[in-house]
Amino acid sequence: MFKSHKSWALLQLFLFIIILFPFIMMLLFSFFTGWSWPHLFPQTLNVSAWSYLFSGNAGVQEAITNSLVIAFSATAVNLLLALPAAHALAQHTFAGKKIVEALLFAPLIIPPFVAMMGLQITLIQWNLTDTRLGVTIAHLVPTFPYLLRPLYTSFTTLASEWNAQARLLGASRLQRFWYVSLPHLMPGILAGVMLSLLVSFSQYLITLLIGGGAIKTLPLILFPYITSGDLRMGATFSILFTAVTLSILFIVEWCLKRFYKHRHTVPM
Amino acid sequence: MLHLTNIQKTYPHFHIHVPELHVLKGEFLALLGSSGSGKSTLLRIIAGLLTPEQGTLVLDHQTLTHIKPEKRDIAMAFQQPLLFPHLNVIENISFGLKMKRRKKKERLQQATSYLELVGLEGYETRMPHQLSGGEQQRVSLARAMIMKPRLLLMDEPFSSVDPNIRSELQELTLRLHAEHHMTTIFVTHDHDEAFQMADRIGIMQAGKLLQVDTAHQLYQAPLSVDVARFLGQKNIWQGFIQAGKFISDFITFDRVEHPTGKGHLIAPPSGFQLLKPTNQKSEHEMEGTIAKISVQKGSYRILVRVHAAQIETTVPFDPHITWTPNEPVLLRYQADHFTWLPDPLA
Repeated sequence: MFKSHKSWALLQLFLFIIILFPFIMMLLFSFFTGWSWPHLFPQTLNVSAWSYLFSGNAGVQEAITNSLVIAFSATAVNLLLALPAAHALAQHTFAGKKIVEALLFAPLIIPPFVAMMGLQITLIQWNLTDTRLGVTIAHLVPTFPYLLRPLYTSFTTLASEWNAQARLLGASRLQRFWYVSLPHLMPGILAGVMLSLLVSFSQYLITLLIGGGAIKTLPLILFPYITSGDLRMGATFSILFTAVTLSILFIVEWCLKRFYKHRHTVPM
Repeated sequence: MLHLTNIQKTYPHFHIHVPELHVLKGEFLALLGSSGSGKSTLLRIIAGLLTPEQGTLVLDHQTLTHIKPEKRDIAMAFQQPLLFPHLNVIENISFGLKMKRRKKKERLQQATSYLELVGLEGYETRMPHQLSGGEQQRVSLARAMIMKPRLLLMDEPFSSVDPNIRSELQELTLRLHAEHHMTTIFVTHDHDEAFQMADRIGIMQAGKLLQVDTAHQLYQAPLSVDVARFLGQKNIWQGFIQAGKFISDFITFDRVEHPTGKGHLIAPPSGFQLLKPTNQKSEHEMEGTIAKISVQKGSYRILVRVHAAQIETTVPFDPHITWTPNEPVLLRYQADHFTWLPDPLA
């Protein structure tokens, strides 16, 4: 595709700058004030945004806890729902399969906000609005297809012949799932879990609608600063948000890979 | 040992029906048929992966019909090696023992000895993707055999490997069978493979088990024209016998000693001898011309035109005799090599 290593290197550099540049800007905005012409860089170091962030008044701790609890709970429920759903879609044929498939993947195409209007009424009836549980249920809608999709692909590449082979080596249903299917599905589960966590982390509107402002997550405390034009606070919260998200992703990946590696060598 | 009775299974365009099949203890039985003949389906029914609509399966006096495949104590080697990709060679081989919750030490010990048995010492920690197709099949075979199953099923296990590796694997399988006397049903579409390996061969066609016999019997006494055709017999004529003479629209043979009636005459190439023409012609000789010559391993396959018929003969290589197309020849036949299949009485 690329004629030489040189042009490939240039493209990489270009992409790197595009991705890195906003981060540099955010760092500059969060640590400095008084960025005016003709200075190329801001002049005055100002860490007041950071000290506010860690002061305990900003509600950061509560927001991180809420974000984590909601994202992980929603993802766990999703996983329980998506495993049998992906299995059924990938390995069985049944009447109305296309319709079921379309419904399950609908949130990818139809804005989840549409479903939220109806869900809100239900949650009000159940007295679950303004609660973490309510928000978690609401987060299931936009995150589910992101978990289902990679699992679905993993299940389609899981040859049913492997299952037949395991059966004829005396493996029970549970043993077949644990020793044959699960190791094969692990990369798909990994990808799905990460996507689901990420999508849940970045929900704003749904959290606001169902949580009614009582349930504060990271995007909820970040958003007012950005809209109000407080770039310094906005940048500081954005860095925090990115740091939390990235570290969670690294931890999840590390844990799952460790588990996978463990499974890789130990069955003997 | 294994006894199948009246097994039936119906698909939209296919029906499998096996009235009866006996497999003896320690026997190596091949199921031979072209693709779509139902041989793999039958194997999967025996394994329990498919449920027949009718019929009974009895293995060692135990009725298998309602026993799950994992409880049948039957192992199977599939067309693809189907090694578990996340497990290394030794883990793959010991998989079945692990499912039976055998101790780790015992598993390792047995797996190592079976790995040696299939000639792959030193391959313990390799992953399946690091093995060639033939090596993968060896591991697959070891993985099945380590279970010491009551019955070993093999579904065209060597059809996806190179011919030279294939004969190696065939020899290995035969050697292991001779050493362990494991009752084996081997499905194949390859005539040579079936005839080389099996004690008895079951011929399947369109969902039916046509005949189960030794290779010799299948050639000497095919039970139907279909069996003879399937085994490659070309000299088959429909006609009738009258006063010791076979008469058909195409050809006539003298001294065919069978009761009068209609039927098919099957005349294997071994029943004919090709001669250069002489002035004298005896009773069992016919005049003809060579229609076509093709070279086979160690012999010629020569089609001889006699009246309206074409007769297939095989002639061993002889440096002193040459045969050319359209050459007039004399064809001597031995009627006792022929098989007469009378039509069933209406």
